[in-house]
Amino acid sequence: MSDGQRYRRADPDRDGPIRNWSKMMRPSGSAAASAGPATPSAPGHPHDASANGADPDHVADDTVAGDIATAYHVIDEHLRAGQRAAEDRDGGPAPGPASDGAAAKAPAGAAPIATAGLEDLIAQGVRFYSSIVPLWTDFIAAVAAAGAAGDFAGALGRATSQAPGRSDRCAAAIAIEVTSRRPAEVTLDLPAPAIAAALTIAPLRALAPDQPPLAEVALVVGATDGRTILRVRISDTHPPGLYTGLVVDRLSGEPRGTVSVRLGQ
Amino acid sequence: MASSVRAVAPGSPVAAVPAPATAPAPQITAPQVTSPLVPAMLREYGAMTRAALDRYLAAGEPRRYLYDLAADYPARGGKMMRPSLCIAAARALGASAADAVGTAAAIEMLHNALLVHDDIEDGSEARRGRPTLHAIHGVALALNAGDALALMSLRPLVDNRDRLGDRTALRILEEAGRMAVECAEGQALELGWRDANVTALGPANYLEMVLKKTCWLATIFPLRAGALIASRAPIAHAAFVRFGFLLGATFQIQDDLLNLVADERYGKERDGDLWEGKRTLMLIRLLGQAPPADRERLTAILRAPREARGPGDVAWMRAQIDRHGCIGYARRYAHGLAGAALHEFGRAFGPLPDSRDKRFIRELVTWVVERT
Repeated sequence: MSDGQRYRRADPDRDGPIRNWSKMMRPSGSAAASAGPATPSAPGHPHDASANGADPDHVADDTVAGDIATAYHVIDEHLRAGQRAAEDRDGGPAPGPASDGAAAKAPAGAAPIATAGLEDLIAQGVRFYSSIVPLWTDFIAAVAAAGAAGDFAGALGRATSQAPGRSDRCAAAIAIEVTSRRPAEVTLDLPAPAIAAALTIAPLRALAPDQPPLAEVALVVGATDGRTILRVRISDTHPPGLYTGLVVDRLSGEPRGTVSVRLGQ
Repeated sequence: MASSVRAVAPGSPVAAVPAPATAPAPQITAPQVTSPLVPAMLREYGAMTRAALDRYLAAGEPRRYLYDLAADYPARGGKMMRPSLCIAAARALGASAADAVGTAAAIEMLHNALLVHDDIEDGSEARRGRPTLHAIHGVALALNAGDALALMSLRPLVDNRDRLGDRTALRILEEAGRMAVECAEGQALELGWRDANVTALGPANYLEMVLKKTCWLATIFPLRAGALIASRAPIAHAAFVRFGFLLGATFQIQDDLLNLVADERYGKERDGDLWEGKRTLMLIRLLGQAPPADRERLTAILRAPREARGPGDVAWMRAQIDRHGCIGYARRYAHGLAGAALHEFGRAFGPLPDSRDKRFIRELVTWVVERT
């Protein structure tokens, strides 16, 4: 990756569902595996192949496309409903891509009645009893918070720099392995916990544009103990200086933190 | 609040370090037919989960009336897909199996608790090749054992505090609470449709019911819990939910198909869903395809309680399902969902490094439509 080029996750092989799964199972050459992008069709009953004399495979593809469109409609509406519930509970729109409609569901009656449509009211009525479980977990949360308030401040990585306690034992520590013949100070900043295996690090760069980047910097997961390791290897000829780079979540493409290396003479 | 770790190399090599593992580019290839990996990992993670279950289901008193009953369904075996998916998701994302096995045990316990209740609600006669719990011990004792199993499933989730910390343990508990509500809603839809003899249903209604009744416990929660265990943070990727839904819906349609076409290995009552008037995709398809006279007869049969339904009624429904190609329709539907599930797998897991667990999760998609 050259200087100035943005770090971005690789494009997926496809941007639509594999339509004809059964064709994928046939030996190659017998039928083209259809893995092209979706052609959404209106949800509804499948077509009758015999009615119009259409090619059965073609009609089957259309039928499957309609079925999948229905499935995506169902799950997307479910996710939107969850997001709306989260917004109602929190008193405002949930933040864009970080919000997760599946992560929260408000107890019945969370939405103001004056603004709720008829459908929402019916849905809330159906889900009335669902308020029991959130209340129960809220209770557990309150009890736990009262008993161990300090534990909630724990975050990934802090364990290595804090006095041992229960949350320290539980937090996922990151080990740092540095291979260098010269003094090197390595700092990893992760503002929030993240899936270690999904993190990747862009090459570390110095402010001076003519200095080569530090490319051998990686987060790896130990094969035996599952421990996350920040591995830094510095060649003997690398110019001294301060090098910094982003820690990026490969799943979302979001920056998660920074790594810096201060390399001495 | 910035969290940081810092290390200083003192000017000499710290250690001879092997080259970092590199993540291969995500690849979508045709699924391997009859994957040997899936059964092997189901056995491996299933055994791990059973060992944890044994600890949590240790017999106490009154053993004869409660603990033996609570341990009955888990002891009969089962596919162990749900707990295995949880462990595999956690491992694929960088956690250890030991971190996830408690949650996996909780999932299996709750699953078995719901099976006890479902069998009572459905009036089912066989489960995993033996009579249902209520058929052996009566409804009252079976119901109580199911309640106990559900409540006991909370124990491993609370015990997660010791290994995962309070915050992660609570998030998993919150997710479990959400999942339990979704399950109850899905079951309510299915039972309510039968109770009110609702026949104006389409595939979207079916999928919504399956999303709640099946997918949250079978796939979505195990995946999200696994990701939570690995990340110790809220999961903000809808792709996990979409993949879980599409995998779970494929699984349920195949399960419903097996009820009509499976051999004796199936372990449940053959045509039991027709006896119970369950709104499966095949029945919904039949309701939409049957000519008016047949639809009227079908509606009348479904209106009757199970005990008033005769073998002739069930045989007639089964013949109509064949006549209108409902089995083939459901199979195509399941295959289509499986394809979409593979697509969503690529989105959810594609960027992760290759691993046995990642391959297992991907090959599960194929396995659920191939299983017999």
